Amino acid sequence: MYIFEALSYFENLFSLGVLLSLFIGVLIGLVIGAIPGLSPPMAIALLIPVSFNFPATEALIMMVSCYAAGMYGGSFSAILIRAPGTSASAATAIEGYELTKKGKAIQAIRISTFASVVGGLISGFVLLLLAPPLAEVALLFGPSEYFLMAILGLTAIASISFGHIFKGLIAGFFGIFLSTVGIDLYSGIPRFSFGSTSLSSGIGIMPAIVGLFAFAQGLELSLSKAQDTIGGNSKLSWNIWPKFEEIKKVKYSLFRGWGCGLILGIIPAAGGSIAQWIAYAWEIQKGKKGDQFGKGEIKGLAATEGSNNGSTGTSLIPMFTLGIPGGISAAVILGALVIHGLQPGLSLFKNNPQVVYTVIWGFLAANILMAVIAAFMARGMAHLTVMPKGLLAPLIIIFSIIGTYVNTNNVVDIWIMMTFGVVGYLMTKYNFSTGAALLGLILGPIAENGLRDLMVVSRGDPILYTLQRPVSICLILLTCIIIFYSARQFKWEKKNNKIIKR
Amino acid sequence: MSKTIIIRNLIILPISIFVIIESKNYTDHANLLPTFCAIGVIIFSILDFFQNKDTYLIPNKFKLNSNNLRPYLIVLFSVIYVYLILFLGFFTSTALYFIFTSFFLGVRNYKSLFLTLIILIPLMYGFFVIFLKTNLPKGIII
Repeated sequence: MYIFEALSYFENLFSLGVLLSLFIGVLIGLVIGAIPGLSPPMAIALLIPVSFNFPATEALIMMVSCYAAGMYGGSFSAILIRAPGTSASAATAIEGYELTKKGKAIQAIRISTFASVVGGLISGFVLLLLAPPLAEVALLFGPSEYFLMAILGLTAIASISFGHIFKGLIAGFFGIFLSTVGIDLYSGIPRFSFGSTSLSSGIGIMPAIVGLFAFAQGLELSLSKAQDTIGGNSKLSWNIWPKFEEIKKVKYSLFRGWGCGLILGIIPAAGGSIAQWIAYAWEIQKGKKGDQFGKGEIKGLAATEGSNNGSTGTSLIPMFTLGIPGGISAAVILGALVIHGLQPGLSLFKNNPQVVYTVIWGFLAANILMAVIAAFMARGMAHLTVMPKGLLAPLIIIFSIIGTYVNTNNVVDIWIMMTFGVVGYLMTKYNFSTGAALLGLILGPIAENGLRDLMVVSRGDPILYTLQRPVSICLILLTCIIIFYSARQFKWEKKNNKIIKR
Repeated sequence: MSKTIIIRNLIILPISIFVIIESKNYTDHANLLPTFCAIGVIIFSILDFFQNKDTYLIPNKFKLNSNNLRPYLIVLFSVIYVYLILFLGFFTSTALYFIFTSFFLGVRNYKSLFLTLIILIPLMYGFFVIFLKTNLPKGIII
C-alpha cells in the first residue's frame, strides 16, 4: 500500500525545480565532499540559506542529494591523496591511497563509484519501504515519550563525540537551553532575552547551523599554513564506471559492506563513520591468503565504500519517522525540515506525503546523478583537493555571512551566526560535539512541549507516570545502554591510547 | 589543572548556576526545561571530570602565539567586513575582505588569489542576484 502511494509521487521528480535542486545538491556535495576537512554537514548547512528560495520539497531534495554526493565525494581525496574528505571515508584512505601509489587510482575510483552508487540506491529503497510503516510507531508516543525521545536522540549523537559522551551531553543540553531563549509561548514571558528585542524572538536554527558548521570550519582552516594543500596532484581518466570483471572479483566484499551500512545506518548516531570500520574489520577477518590488506587491497576498499553510502538512506529512516537523526548530516537535514515548517513522524507521511516521497525519490535519483556528474568532474576534482587553505578559509566565511544575510536581510542574524561560529570553533577545539548542540536546539521545543504536557497529564508525578508506560521504559533503557556502552568504549580506547588529548 | 577544565569551570558552571537562579522567576512550568538543562550540565561536568581526571589534573599552561590568535583575528576582520558591506556595498567589501584575509593568512601567490576573485565575484552575482533574485546590500560603490 505504501509503495503504491510512493509510486504515485514518482512523476514529481521530473519537474524543473526538482531536477535543478538535484543538480545543485549533487554538485555542491561532490565538490565539498572531495575537499579534505570540509564535511557533508557543512555543505548542507551552507545550502540551508539558499534553500529558503525553494519550496520545501526542492529544498530537502537539495540537502539529501548533497548528503549522498558528499559521502561519495569524500572517497576521491581519500583515494588520491590519503586525505579523507569525510570521516566516513577514513577507512577508504587506507586501501585507496595504497592503490593510488601502485598506479591503480582509477581502478580504486571505479570500484568506489560502483559501491557508493549501488549502496546508496539499495539504502534509498530500504528507506522507501521501511520509513512509512515505522512512522506508525510514532502513534505509540505520548508526552513522556516525546521528552525521552529528545533525550535519547541527544545521547545517541553525544555518544559519537570523540568518545567523550559526557562532553557531548553537556553540548546537547546547552543546545536545549538555547532553544528556551525568547518569549515562552505558554506564559508569554521572555526568557533569557535580557531586554533584547532580537533575542525575544528566540535563536534561529539557520544562523546556528551555518555558524556551528560552516563559519567554525573557516576559523579552523585559518590555523593551517596558507599554502597547505594536503597532498599532490593526480590526473584521472573520465571513465569511472567499473568493468564487470572488476565487480565480480569483489562481489562478496560489496555485499558485506552494503549490509553493514544498511544496518548501522538505521541505528541512531551509528552511521557511515562506524559502518566503514566494522565493514573493514569484517573484510579483514574474511580475508584469504594472498590478500594485501593495508597495502592496497581492492576488497577492503569495496567494503568500506559500500558501507558508508549504504548507510546514507537508512540513516534518514529514524530522522523521518521519529525525529532522531542517524548522524550529524541527518541532524542538519532535520533542522532544515523544521525550518520549512515540517515535523517528523507519522504526520509528515499523512499530511505531506508529496514532500516526503518526492524527497525519497530524489535521494534515489541523486545516487545515480552523482556518478554521472562525477564522471565529468573527476579530473577537476583531483585539482580541487589541492586548493590552498589560505584561499578556502575566507571563501567559506564569505559564503557563511552572505548566506545568512540573504535569508532574512537582517544583520542581527549575522552576529548570531558569527557567535555560534566562535562557540562552534571552541567546542570543536575542546572536544564538545557541535552536532549535539545543534540537535539540542532543534529538539528543544519537542522536549519542552513533552515535559510540560507530561506535568499536566501526570498530575504532578511525572516519574510514576513515565514508569507505567512500556515505550518510555524502553527509551530510558536505550538511553542508559548508550551512555554505559560509550563510557565503556571510552575506557577501552583510553587504555589503548586512542583518545586524542587536547 | 589543565586549561580545558579551567575554561569549563569559568564558563559553564557559573552560567548553569545563573540559569537555575534566573529560571525561578518564570511561571507556568517555563522554568522546568532551563533548570533541567542547567542541572544536567553540572552533573555531566562532574561525571566528565571523574572520567578524565588523570588528564585534567596535569598542569597545562595557556600558549598564546600568533597562530592561536589567527581565528580570533579572522572574526575581528569578519566583523569589520560586515560593517563595510553596509557602507561600501557587498561586492567591493567582499573583494577587499578576500584579498586582505588571504594575504593575512599567508597567501602570496597573487595569480591564484586574483584568479579566484575574478571567478568568485561574477559567480556570486550570478547566483545571488540573477538566479535567486536577492537584494544584496548596496553601499556607496557597489
